[in-house]
Amino acid sequence: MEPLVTFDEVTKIYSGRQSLLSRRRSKEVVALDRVSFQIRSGEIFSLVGESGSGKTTCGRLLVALEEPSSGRIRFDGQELQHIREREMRAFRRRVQMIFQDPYQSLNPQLTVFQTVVEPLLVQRVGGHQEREARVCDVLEEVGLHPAEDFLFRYPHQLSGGQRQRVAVARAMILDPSFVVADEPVSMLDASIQAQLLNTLLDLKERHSLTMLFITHDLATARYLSDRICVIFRGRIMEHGPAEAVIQNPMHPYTRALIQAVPSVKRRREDLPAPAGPVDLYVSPSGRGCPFSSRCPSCDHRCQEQEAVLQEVEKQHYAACFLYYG
Amino acid sequence: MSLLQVESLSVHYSTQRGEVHALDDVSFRLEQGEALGLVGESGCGKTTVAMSIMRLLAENARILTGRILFRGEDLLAKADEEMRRLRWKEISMVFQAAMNALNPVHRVGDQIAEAIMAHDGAVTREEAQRRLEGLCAMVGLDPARMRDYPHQFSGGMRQRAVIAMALACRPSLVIADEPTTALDVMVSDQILGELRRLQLDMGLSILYISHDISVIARSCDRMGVMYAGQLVEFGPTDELLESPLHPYTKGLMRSYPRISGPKERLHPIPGEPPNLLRPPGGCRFCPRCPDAAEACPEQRPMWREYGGQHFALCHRIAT
Amino acid sequence: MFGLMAIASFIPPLIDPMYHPMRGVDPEIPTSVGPSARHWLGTDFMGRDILSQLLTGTRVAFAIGISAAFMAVAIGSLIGMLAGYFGRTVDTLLMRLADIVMVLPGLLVILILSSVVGQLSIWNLVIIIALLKWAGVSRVIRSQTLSLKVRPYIEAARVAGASHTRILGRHILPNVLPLSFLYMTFGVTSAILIEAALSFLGFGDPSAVSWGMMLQWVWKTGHMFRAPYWLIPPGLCISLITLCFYLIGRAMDEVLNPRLRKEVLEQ
Repeated sequence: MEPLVTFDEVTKIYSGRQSLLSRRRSKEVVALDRVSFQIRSGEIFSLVGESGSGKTTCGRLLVALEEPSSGRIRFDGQELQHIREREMRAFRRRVQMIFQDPYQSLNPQLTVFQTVVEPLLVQRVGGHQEREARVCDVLEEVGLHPAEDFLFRYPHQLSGGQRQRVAVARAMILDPSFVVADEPVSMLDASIQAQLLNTLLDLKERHSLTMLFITHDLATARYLSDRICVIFRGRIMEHGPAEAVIQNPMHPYTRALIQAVPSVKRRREDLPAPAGPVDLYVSPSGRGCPFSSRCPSCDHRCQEQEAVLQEVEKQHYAACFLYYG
Repeated sequence: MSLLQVESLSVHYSTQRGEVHALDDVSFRLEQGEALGLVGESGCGKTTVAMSIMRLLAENARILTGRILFRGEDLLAKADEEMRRLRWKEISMVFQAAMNALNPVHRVGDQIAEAIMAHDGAVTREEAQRRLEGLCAMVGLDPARMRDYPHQFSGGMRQRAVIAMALACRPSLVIADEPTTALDVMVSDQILGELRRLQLDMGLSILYISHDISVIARSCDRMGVMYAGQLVEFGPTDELLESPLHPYTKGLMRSYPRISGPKERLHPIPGEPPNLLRPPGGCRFCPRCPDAAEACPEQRPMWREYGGQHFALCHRIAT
Repeated sequence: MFGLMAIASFIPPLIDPMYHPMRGVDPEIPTSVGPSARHWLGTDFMGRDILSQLLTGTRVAFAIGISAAFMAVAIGSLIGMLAGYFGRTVDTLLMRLADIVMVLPGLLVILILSSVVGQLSIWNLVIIIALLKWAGVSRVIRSQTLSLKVRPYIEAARVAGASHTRILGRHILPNVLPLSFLYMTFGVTSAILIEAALSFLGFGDPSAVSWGMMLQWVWKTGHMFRAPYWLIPPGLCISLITLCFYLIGRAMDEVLNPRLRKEVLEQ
């Protein structure tokens, strides 16, 4: 079956503006480097990476907030670059986004009602009565109960968890088929995080949603998703079914990530080697595997060439020379 | 005698909307050479505890009752001048998001050296430089990079610089408030490991404060759980995490998705923490507690020991 | 208080033609005399009542101050928002324009214009002040817009499909308004002062009584040190009205910014 979302060799380069005085070419940041993956309809697909990995950029490209420098992004068979203005509106009804920061993602001058009803107004959906009803319904669905209590509050009167629920409500009110959730729970306390994760799971079930879940936390990714994709420095290192990636990680980077995930139960006595001058990620030379400087299994090949994603076991891919041939 | 002894500390903040009961009768001890952790979600009062110890509370804070004994002397009774001398030399602190607190227009090395000279009057510049190199080795920074500016450092390096500043005058006690929050998982893991090693090598005492149980689990010998301004459980880390007593602790631990083991639906604590302007009369956790009984909303629970130095504040635990 | 004065200014001429600020001349008192029962603040050199003049001056002050400031801020805010929001070429063009305007020596321009055109009427003055002052406002509003532009809630609106107009109107404008109002109050005070200064120097509209005008008459007719009852009231009024508007500005900020509103305790 045709996947819902396809990223095909997508590259995104940010170049700083050149200063008028300097003759030097400004630094270019390669946020994404020939990234390819597919998201199937009805699944939760997690993109896991640390800061600077490019995961947020993927999300933004997918909701057409930005354009890729090269490569193609397809949604439901249509290439995003070729969507014309008229069709853009329809696209926007189907694809929505939940942002990370509950303190910045709501307009402080608007009430909860105004914020959540906005997409309906923009898309010219329904009459006044119908809109009110829909807003109340979606607020209840995300756990803001009773909805009437929250309608006329301002963001500063809500807690972080409540604000984030409003953000989810806003994303859901158009009944989209696809939602990009960019670290929606990272800034929340543990117990509220868990509540919101469950809410997202429920929403997915009830609305047959497809979701791109962006996170730095492997444990959360495992909990929520059907498939996990690990990204590092703009390149995909590994992807596959969630359980497979977690129980049987292929790529050394994935293994290192899993090792580093702190456990709530056990205290670990293993202390790292005495610290030398250290900075985990030295800037890569530009060629070869970006993880090569830190990789325990690295050899000379890794620093010269890039490994391509190989299917190592069923549906489980890794980009590493360990699995070549 | 314990290095640090907090006794019945109660703190209120006066705000436009009324009195916020930030801390209610908090007591615990930290021994010399020990790593103690305080865990709790936002608003539970853990940072207020830290600020009270450092005597850096905001203007609108009122300390209602309590003593904070450091080596037997009450910090709350000290004059500002005395406190100033103690700060950084005996007790220092790594603040939340400290890596953003580095002054962007000064070189990192200079800032650390400043910290040394500011709190240790007798030190000359040369001496400070030498100590700086020693500190770099301790925290894992390259001395050659001391002439860089903060924006040239990565997040992890900045955090190390801030830790170096906290250790500059060889204090006996370091308070680390959310030491790794803004850092990536791998860097965070490494820094926590290094802090632990430093602590063991130097015989430092560290008070860790975090909303993340795993940070405390990894680094601390003993830990306390805070909720709504109260200390609701306290005990040896292993024991507490293995067999948590208080319903809040149990609920909190259920809120973390696991990376290993079977995948199960999370059952987090419903609802939200109480408004500390008007805290509930009896047990503060009662409205959200799956185990609540009749006495809970009415009576304040007792702080009791349940064997092996493991304490909890609850009506419902069988002795 | 000044509002009351403005309204009150309509009253005296109705009482008695003698009190009309310009034309009313008390036949019995041909020169400037101190306060008395008939003329509460005394009379000016032509025998006209000072109090009436003062009151009328209020109307003028309001009219000029508010209109000039309003226009300046409206123009400035609009340009600032457009420049900040659309960026690149639009931004560069508009800001270069603003720079040019800012650099123009205001007083000089007015003097030149008035000598070319002849006496300036009140409304000419208002327009000129507005056209000179919008640039400062636009810079500030532009930077505010720039910082707002990247807030996630703006992006959320875009993701929902909002058009640029909608985003500007619904999201950026309300967050920029408090700043605009604040600048408007500064604008009012400076407009009033500019008008007062110009009138004082003799470039104002001689057919309209304003406080600056009054000061000019005091000076021109050599009464400066002889008639304090004439000199002080207009000066005092100018200072007070400036203070008044500044305080209004602060109050407006509180009203418009939901976060600053003191909340009523719940439960």
